[in-house]
Amino acid sequence: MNCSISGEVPEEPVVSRNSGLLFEKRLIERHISDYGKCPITGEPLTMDDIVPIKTGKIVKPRPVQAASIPGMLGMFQNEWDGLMLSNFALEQQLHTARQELSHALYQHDAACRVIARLKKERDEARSLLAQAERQFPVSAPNAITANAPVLSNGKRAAEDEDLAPGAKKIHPGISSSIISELTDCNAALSQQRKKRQIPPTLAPVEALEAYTQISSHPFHKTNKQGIISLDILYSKDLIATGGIDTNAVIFDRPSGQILSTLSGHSKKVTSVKFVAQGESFLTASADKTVRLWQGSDDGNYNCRHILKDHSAEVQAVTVHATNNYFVTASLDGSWCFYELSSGTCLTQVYDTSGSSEGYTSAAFHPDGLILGTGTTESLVKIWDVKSQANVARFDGHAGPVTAISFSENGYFLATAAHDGVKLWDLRKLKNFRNFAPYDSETPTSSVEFDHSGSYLAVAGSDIRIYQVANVKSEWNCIKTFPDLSGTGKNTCVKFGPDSKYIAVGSMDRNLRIFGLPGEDAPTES
Amino acid sequence: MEVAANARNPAAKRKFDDAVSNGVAAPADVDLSLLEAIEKSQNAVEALDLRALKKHVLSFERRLKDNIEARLKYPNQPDRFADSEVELHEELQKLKVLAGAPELYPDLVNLNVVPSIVDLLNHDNTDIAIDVVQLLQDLTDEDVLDDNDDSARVLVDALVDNSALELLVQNLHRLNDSDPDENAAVYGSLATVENMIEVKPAVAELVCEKTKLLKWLLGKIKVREFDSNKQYASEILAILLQSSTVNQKKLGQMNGVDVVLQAVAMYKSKDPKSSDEEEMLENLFDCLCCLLMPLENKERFVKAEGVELMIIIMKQKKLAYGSAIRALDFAMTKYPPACERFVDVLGLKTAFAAFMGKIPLSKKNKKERYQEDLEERIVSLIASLFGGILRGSRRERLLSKFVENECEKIDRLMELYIRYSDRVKAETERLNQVELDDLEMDEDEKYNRKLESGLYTLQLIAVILGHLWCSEHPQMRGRIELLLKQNKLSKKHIKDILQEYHDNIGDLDGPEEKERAQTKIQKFITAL
Repeated sequence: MNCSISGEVPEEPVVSRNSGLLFEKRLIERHISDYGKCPITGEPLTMDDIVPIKTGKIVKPRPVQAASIPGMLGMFQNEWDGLMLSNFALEQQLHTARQELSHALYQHDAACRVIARLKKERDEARSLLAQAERQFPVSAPNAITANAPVLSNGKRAAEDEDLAPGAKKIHPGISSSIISELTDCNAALSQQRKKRQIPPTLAPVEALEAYTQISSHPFHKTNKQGIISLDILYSKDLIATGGIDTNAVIFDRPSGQILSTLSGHSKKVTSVKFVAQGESFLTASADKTVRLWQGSDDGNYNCRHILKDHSAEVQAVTVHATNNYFVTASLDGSWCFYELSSGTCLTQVYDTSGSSEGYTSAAFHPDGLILGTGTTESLVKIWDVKSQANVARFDGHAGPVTAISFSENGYFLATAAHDGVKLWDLRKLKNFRNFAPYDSETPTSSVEFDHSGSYLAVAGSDIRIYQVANVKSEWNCIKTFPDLSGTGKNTCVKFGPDSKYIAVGSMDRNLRIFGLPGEDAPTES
Repeated sequence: MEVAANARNPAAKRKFDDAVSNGVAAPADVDLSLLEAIEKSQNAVEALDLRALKKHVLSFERRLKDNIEARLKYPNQPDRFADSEVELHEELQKLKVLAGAPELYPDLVNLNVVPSIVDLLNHDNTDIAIDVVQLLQDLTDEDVLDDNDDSARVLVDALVDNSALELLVQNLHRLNDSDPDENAAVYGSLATVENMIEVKPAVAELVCEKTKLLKWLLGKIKVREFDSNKQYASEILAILLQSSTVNQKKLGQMNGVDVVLQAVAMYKSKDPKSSDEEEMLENLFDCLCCLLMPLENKERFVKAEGVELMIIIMKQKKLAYGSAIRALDFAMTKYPPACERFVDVLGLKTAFAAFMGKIPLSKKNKKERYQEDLEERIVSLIASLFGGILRGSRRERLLSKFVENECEKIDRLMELYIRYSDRVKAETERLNQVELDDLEMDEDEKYNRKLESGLYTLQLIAVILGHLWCSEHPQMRGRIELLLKQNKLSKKHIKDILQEYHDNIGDLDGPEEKERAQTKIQKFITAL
């Protein structure tokens, strides 16, 4: 008999009094306690309704499958299959767990690397910061060093900061205080000029007529010959020359020695000027730059500023009477007003009246408030420095105006061009005299008044000295010096102190000194 | 349930089997490649040992014997001995592997195979001779020898002892340039000679003494059209002349000066077309300069109108300009007749134009160093002129050149003086700085360093200034004084340079010549 609930042979059989069904004792008791009814018939049932049955020792019946050998083999095969499947599942889980472990380890390693790299970057940043802090105090001296003097003899000077191409500096302009300074200087000099007298030490006409070449000095290179600019410092009798060989040479005439050879420009030096007593020196060049040189005790000059405001060849440089300012003129159609001590361009002036020709020459009026410029289109323009306005125009020349010179009397202006020399009266703003000393093929390169305003020198295919007279009188040519260079081109001429000698530059390498023979006998060559 | 279980089981088994097979296969491949590498290296080692050398030599000797026998048996039947010739050719090709083991050359010589190889240069079949030339070239190639100088010298000695040079040159006369193979053999012969000179410099004299190589090279240079063998011939000729004074004199006796001048004259009015041709022109000028070392050859140079040719070349301003100046400098050093001829044929104008910096510049030689080299060469040339022309109207003409145009040449001379003086001063300071760093350098070495940095040229300039001063021309003296004063210098500075020069004059030309030179310098020092 089997249990009606489990289907198994019961161990403690009991019988229901109502239905007569056989049950396992613990099963039916639990059911009654839970539900209170017969699980088969559904009738209400209580513990009193079940009756234990006493039976003898029962042997459990054998399952049908175990009755034969093939059945047993089937059972064994099933067990084996189950084992293998579970083993496979376990192996799968193991593999998965291992992969997860390796992934975890890999991520850990990657994380460690990231941390290490970040630490390294942090350390580098800290060290950079430390270096920056250490270098910061040094940067100020470096800024000063950037403009420090650089030895000029044979060595290239340091370059000032480079601007982006096309970028223009903002110029502060000429301030009221500067205008006051200029005006005061003008008043003082104008006052002095009224009392001006010709110095008794000035060389007389008879002496000039007797002048001849007394020395010849090769300052510039033999394979790039040509002296194209010249200046003389009266107080120390220094002569400066600018050459096609890109050098400027400062020569001490009394000692006969070259004080300094200024190298640094990359093209010919078009204009040279001493400042005040020679402690500063200016050179303008076809390389579009102007250099300001500082003198030192041993006679050498060091480049202190390189001025790059012009965009074309700089043709002229002229120093104001205060010795604190200077002007440069360029083929780019502009002139610049500079402060000398700082090398700052205060203003850059273009002619706004339409024409855009370049400037070929420039000079300050002796009193400083008027600037004269010559152009490539034969015009002479007169400017008011205070307002930077063009206040007068002189035409009539042919070809570029190569030179311009104000007389110390304040109202005579001499200009040179291809067609010769023209003299202008600034009081009446008109041309009152013309010289055409050379043929139509030969331009006049230079014209220069002497310091006293008594003589006028003209340079072309030879050198001619005129005696200055008044507007209506004849200006006599009192001396002609032949061209000794053989090139047929004298480029510049200047009177020495009190016109005791005349210095001439030409298209060879020699600077020639003309004066009374016998005075400089030792240097005659 | 059972079906599903059975389906899964074979899959599991298959995976396991695959894993096992994959693991087994990979190591097997790696092992095989390793084994192959080991075998290859063993093969390479085997090819270079003594046993292999003997094997090759024995095989070669056997083939050679067969070929000789065949030619003796059937002298007029080429078809009968053609096979043995082909075999001999192949054997010679195999011998080229010996070039890979220069350390075995002494063993090669000991096997007494060199005479057999060299004799084949005389073989009736030109192809065999060509093979031998290639073999010798390979054996003596500098790239092959590396650091085996001693072994190479043993081989070269053996070659020389067995008349390899004579046979090579004889072979040159036999070879024809129009045939590509023979053309290559000509190149190979010249390369072999060059290689042998590289190993043993004495070969340079031996080859000229024993053979007619010089004659052949001269004939090659005479050829009008340019080709690579002509260029190589000029190079070999330059090497032979550079290494030996005896060769210079011998070539001079063979009318070599005239031949080289004619070869150079081809380029007086036109430039070389290719860089190889340029190199050949440089080689020819190198030959000419070496030829002009002995005094007899300077005489031949003047007689052959060499001075005139150089001046013409300078006037044409072609590529040969700088080399012509160099040749003139060599010709006029310590040989007054050449200086006199130079002045007579109006060479001063051309020379001083170069002195003033009017040097033709092309895109190729725009370097600053080239200009400076020319400057130094011109200074040397002018110093030679002063040394060679001591009196007479020619001296006056030379001196008057310096007075022209307001002493323009003196200005230039002083310009150069200052530039080289500054350079020597900078080098002296640098050497002193090096010495302060505890580096030992004796006086001779320092002097040589200064000479190289410009002192040599500076001394020549000082000598020229001495000559100018001693001429007692007032205008020149005044100009020199003016220039010195202008540049804050004095005559003492020049005296110091001349004194140093005086103290260091060597006796290479003999004690008598040394004394004469010192006397001359002393005269300048006294006069200044």
